[in-house]
Amino acid sequence: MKKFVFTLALAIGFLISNAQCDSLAGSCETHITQNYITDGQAYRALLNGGEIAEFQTTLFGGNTYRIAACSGNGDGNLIFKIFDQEKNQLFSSQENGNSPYWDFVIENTMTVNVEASLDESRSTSGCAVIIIGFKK
Amino acid sequence: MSLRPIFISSLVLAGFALIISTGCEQPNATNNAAPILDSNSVSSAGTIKLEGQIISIPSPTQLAILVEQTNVPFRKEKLHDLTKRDEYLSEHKKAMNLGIFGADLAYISNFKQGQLGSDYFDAVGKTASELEVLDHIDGKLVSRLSNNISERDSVLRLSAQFFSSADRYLKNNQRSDLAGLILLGGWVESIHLATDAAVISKDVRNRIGEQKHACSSLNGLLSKIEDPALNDLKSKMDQLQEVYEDLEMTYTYGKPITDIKNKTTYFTSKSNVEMDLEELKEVETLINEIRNLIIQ
Repeated sequence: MKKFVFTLALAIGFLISNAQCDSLAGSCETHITQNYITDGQAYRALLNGGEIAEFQTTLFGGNTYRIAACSGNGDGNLIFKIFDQEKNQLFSSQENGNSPYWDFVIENTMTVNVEASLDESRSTSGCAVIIIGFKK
Repeated sequence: MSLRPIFISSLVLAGFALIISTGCEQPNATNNAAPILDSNSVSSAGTIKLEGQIISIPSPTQLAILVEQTNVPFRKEKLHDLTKRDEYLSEHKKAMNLGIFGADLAYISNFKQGQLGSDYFDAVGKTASELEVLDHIDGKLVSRLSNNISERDSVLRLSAQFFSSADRYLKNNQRSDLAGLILLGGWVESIHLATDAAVISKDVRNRIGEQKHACSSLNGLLSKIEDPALNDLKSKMDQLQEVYEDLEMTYTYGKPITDIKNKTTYFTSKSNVEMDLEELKEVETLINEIRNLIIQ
């Protein structure tokens, strides 16, 4: 019985988290305003405590990108950082007021690592969503 | 009285209520057969791979916009044959070809091809419907796209939102395999459509050269999908990755400049990838072979 309850609780948690992630991705897209086109992908992860979600992406030279990062109900719950392939930190939203979005003007094409983590002073677990748009 | 039975009963009831309330969002039984990709996994460093795979593929729209700037004339024969659409029976084939039709739509929008845009939008809509995705995309978005099919900027922006919604829905329903294959189809087609422009434009040629990371990501994605029908495709993608691995790339770090007031950071690092015409030909040949495997 305990096993059943545990499995059920996990299943419920999964369904709730998925629903939260889905609605969060929709609201996060509002930061990608009319001047920007999304890359058609939603980068999502369920985070607990100090876990870090990361992905690699290529930012093409001559473009301006907007990266939006969301978690929970309010803005600023998700911190995102960008590193180059040599692990140099290029940007941290934490150093910029936990801004939920930021624009990046790219001179030369570069492959970067985007890392996202919860601001543990505001939230200890939840869905993390990152959306990337580029300027038309 | 112990609260435990009440708690357990409540949990069970809540579970059923949630399962019933989300039942319409679940893929059907046949859909459940294919997903092989692992779900969110955590590395020893505590790093979570998003959607179980670290993958980000450039939007076909980006390449289409660059191609438009070269003034290369429209070539209808470069597009995928719409009459082939009905021949695709497997979900994987449908997903890859959905990506192809989407990239074609972005390409067409550069050339004010009115009716042709509508035809390819129909193909996108029908294929999305067959993958049970269309019903889960905001109807207003679909209407706006349909009503603005001759306006380039609207098509580029709205079709990106369309594919973003599809991506979200598929990932939400544990169909990351289909979401990834849509990206693959779109990526292959965007390069296929850019090769004419790449012959005359060094910028486009180098942009194709800069797809090394995307190629590697797509290969990683494909390797996680267990479908014997994709074996030839995987083999060709491996060959394509080898060509990309041979391309020389340089990178020099530059300190970024941040403009806090305008929430903007300028990345000043220098990088370079050079692709000559011979290397372009190699990529083009393999891309055509991969595309043929997808559309056949």
